[in-house]
Amino acid sequence: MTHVRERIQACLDGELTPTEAEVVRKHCASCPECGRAWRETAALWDAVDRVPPPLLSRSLWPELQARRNARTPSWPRLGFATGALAVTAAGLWLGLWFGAELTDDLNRVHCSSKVWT
Amino acid sequence: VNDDELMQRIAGGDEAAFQLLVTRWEQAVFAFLCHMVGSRADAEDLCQETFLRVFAQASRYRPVGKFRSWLLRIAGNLARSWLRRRKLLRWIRFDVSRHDRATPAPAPDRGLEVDQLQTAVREALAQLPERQREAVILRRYQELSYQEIAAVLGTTPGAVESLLQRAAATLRKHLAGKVDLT
Repeated sequence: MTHVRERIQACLDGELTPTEAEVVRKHCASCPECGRAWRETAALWDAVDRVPPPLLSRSLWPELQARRNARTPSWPRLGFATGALAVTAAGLWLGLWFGAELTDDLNRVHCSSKVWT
Repeated sequence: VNDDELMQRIAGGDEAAFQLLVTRWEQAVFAFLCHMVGSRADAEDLCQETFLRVFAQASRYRPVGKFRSWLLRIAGNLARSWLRRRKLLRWIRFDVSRHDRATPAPAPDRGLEVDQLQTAVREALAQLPERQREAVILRRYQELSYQEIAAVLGTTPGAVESLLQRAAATLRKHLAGKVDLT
């Protein structure tokens, strides 16, 4: 079974149901040891909360935009790569097509020669 | 316009929607990262990287949970890998700045007590294990619920409660004698 002291953190953070929170509060009010744990935990988080949040002195948007543009390949730069790829693909396709045609022609000649003999 | 609608527009390549989302969240993401990595310059860099990932993953974003949890999960993942890389680099080459750090001179004027408290808390936070630190930052500075923290860390609300309890115990040890916690 969970001891009440182990729920102090959740109680301070408002994470317990009203009934659970009531049990923890009542116990801490009557138990000196748990009451001390409650006060110490509250004081600790109070000290942590007093640290101001670090603030940005400027918006990061301009730098972010520049960084994103640098990463996104622009069309002129893409053009060369795409063009090279297209030429290679076309060459391969033509090669395969001519190769297939040639093979067909040879087969036809071969078959015809069989008929003639 | 809510965040989910903005994400839908960003997925369609809407630059203005992306700018609006960045402007809305950059401060929160930066503060979270700054607490996580302890350096403003690195936090700014990681913050930009977080938003670049948001843009790249916009088409895959599904509005099933809270946008904030999804955003901070991306930032948290980046911060954790950054911390791992830094740890590895320090292991490979001896880092003078880490081992031979000059003791900062106390501020001569008023506000000394506040400064000391803030410095002590920052140092104590920096010494927490990564997951505990992340849970504390998300709870105290981002004001996320246990359920939301669990979504960011990929764990359960019960585990978050336990992480925070352990963090409190460690922080109390580090702050003992420096800060009055009674």
